[in-house]
Amino acid sequence: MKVTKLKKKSMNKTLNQGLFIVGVMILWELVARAQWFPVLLFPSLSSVFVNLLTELVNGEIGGRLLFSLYLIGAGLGLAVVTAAVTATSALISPIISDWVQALMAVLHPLPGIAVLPIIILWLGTGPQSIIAVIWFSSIWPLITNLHTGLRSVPATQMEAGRNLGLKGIALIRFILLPGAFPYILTGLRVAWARAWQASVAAEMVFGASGGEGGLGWFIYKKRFFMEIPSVFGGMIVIILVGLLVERLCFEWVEVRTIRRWGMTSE
Amino acid sequence: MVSNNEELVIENLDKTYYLRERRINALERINLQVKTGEFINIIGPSGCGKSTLLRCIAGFEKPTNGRVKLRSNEIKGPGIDRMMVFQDFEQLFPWYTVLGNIVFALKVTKMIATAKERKEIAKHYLKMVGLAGFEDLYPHQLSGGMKQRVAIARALSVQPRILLMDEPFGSLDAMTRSTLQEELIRIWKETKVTIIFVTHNIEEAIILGDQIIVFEANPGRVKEVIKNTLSRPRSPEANDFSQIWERIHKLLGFKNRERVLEERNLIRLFQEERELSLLPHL
Repeated sequence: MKVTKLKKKSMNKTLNQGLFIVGVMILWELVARAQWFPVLLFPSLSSVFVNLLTELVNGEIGGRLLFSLYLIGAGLGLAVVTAAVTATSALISPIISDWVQALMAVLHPLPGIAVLPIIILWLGTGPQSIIAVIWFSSIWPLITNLHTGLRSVPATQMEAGRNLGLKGIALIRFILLPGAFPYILTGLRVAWARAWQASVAAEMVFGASGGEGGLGWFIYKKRFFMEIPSVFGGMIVIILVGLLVERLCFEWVEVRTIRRWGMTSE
Repeated sequence: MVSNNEELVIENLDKTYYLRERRINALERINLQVKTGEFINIIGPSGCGKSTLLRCIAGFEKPTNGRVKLRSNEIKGPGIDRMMVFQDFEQLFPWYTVLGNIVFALKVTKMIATAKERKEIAKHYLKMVGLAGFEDLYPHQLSGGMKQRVAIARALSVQPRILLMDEPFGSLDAMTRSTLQEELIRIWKETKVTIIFVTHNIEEAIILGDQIIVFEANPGRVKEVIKNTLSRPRSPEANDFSQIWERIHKLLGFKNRERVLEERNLIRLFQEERELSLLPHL
């Protein structure tokens, strides 16, 4: 009985939120149609969607999206590997641990996009620079969470593992990693969001000079030609991808892992 | 005094810590012999090093001097011939089910080759601790008592020679505790495993042990070894039970004022040290 009540409550919440979004969309359409603002700068939502549909059909936006996902995949992938190596070394050596903490304290507050100018000088204005910025933006939340997560594993679980003859890599793989998984998942979530931000921002800085680009470049280019409905279209695609990844990837994993294991704070 | 059924021998074991340049003799000159299949209880005040001794036997810590020998082989580190059951409910792996915890133990120790066999053996041990039917639950869905049962099953599943128990029932309510004590005796008789059981509960020590080793603190030393020949099941109401109780109580109770103060000081130091060592990770 309690469960159904809770379900009902969360259903109400979802409904409430859905209605709110729909309301905002209707309001947008009405305001745009009333033409209080220049149509060029504030297009109606329907024209945005019509435009989006054409760009979806002709493959333009799909190509840009794939390119963005490729950049993010590469940057995030590199960041995960670097973070894993760093956090593991920090685990093994207290000296490295101190260094990592110093690095985190110094570099974490620096927004990824702030290193772009120097990266352009070093690596040029190609995809490699964007990947580098994504890497720099997403590595700190990954290291921080991994570092904290590995230390959050109860000492008794470690000893239970050692008692079974586990040591070194096996102890990390079988006990530390699953034990740190709640933190790892949080780290990935934050890193994913940061990676998106970084990729869109970076592409806007040298979008005009690069030939190929992702969604950030798409938005930038469309603004350049004053195709404002497409600018909004690009934003909507970014939002949808964000939502989809959250729901289909992160939540899917969360339900099957840390929620099932009772390792969430809820 | 060498005989064939000596399972574990502890020879002149010292364990010294340094806590902020202070030398602490956690254990001093410990000599003990444990026979195969015996149920040994270690009892003592907090800070007497009884847990440290258990951790030395488990191989988690190295003695400063002396040695621990299991069937004449010196212990160098942890091993599945000595399985530990901790007081902490967190000793189970939360990402495995109840069955999965035991299957994992059997798998990583390479005890059993096939998955099917591992499952069967895991089920056998779960049944032994009275948890048949709970195989697919996750640790967070269990009560404290059930978690300790799983921990016992997991430890026994790899067929250790010695079961080391570090106040395993210390965080349980009185009812669950006494049920588990009874069951532990049944399991001990069934498996014939040697058990070394640390407690600070006098009653628990008398109900369980064949031998009760009374420790004193600061430095941690064996004060007296009491043979407990009461017939099982042992009831606290029995006359001879209370005689042993009084004796242990007296042994533990002898503390002069200076010692009490010293101990308190040490506990405070330990706590401060703990807080300090946490700092870099925050």
